[in-house]
Amino acid sequence: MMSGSGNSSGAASTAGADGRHDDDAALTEFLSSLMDYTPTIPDELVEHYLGRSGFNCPDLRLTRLVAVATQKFISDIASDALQHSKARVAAPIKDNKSKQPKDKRLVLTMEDLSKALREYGVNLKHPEYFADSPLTGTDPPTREE
Amino acid sequence: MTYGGGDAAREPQLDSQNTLKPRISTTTNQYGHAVSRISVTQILEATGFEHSYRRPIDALADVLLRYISHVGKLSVSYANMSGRIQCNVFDVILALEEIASVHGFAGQSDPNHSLSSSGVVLDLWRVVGKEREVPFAGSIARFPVTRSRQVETSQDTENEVEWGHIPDWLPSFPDPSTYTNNSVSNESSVPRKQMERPHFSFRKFFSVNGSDGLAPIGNTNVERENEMVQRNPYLVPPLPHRERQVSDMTIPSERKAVSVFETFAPVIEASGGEIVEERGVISSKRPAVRFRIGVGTKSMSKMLSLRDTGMKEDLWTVKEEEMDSKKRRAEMILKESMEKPNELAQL
Repeated sequence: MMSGSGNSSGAASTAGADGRHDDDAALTEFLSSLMDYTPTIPDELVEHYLGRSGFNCPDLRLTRLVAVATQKFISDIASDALQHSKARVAAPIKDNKSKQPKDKRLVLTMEDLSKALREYGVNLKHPEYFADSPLTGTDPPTREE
Repeated sequence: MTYGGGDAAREPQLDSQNTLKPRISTTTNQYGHAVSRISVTQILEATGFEHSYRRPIDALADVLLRYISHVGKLSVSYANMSGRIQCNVFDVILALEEIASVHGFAGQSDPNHSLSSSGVVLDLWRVVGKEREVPFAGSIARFPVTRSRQVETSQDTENEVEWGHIPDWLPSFPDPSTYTNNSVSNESSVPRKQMERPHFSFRKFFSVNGSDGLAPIGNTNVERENEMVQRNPYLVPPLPHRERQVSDMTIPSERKAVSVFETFAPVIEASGGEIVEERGVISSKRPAVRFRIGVGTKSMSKMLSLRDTGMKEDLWTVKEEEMDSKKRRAEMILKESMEKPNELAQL
């Protein structure tokens, strides 16, 4: 597999043969370092879902590569959501006479998550309420009628 | 991390088309979804969140699985474009670059950039090298686990006789005793419950030769078929096309009562009088039955009309026994009503 790498990088690289070797060495080193690192996402899960998409590779390093990439992706979303959550906590309260102070806890809510995911192209809309009866959401005096 | 929110995991959610859809879409995804939820929780904890609601975690778990599938699909397409069926590390890097091209990565503008040192790889290297390693909590087995199928008996294993025209992979024939019409072998191999002897034997009624139908037969199928045909009048071959003498039909001029016993008299004689007779002689005169008028049941009106017209004897008395039991019931009810005039039950 690594021998076949010469084709694409050879055509792409302009640094010459030495540069190509350096790149390949770096990649080899990176892939070997993957075996020491255990990603948070288990290998079996990644293998199963890659297999469902047609990805067929017996090399465990590729599986780890995809697992690390996915972990990075999710952690990026989580950090964006954390930023939104912190911004919400730090925002000044409109009416200072209100009873409780702002909640200092960092809680992941659907609002923060949907804002974070929107930048990555995932549209997540959380329904505000479930209309299980025709009167849901109407004012109480109307409901009593 | 603590979980919050009181929503059940299986609460249906409205999707973009406003159709109700269960949260965990298919039963086959449940295990993977549960495992990815654990991973997502660990990643969130590592990022800095202390608490979370359940729904964002489910959403992120779904995003995680979709991302893995997306990377796999893109890698496979790049491999197929290069004429390979097995994926390469460069296929994966190209797929990751395509996904990251929305946000941008270092070296994206250069069309001749090296894949080995692409910005995507460097980002990942940073993750591996610098960030704290958070291994998955617990260990999971390889899934999906395939259940070993029970191989059914095939021709080559079970059958003693080797048929040249029957392939080996077909299932074996059933036990020969179940389909041969040998009375001896039937009793020995297939034990049967002791059944009650019926009063009327249809076998004897339909027997042509007068012998018992359960006779031992020849081995070949053709002989068996011929004998079956001879025994069963419905399987007799049709008559050839020519004129035949048919006996004249006798149309009964008078209408007289036909009874079950008269109709099946020859059969009864043939079977040797096996029919159990409840009563010896049917008396022509019947005791009068008094009915209450005005209760409004169908049977009541019918009986009343019959009584008035006196056509009782013209009834087809195949249901004679039924009528007798009804009559008896009616008498009982009448007796009760006579005794208790105040409490009257409807007839």
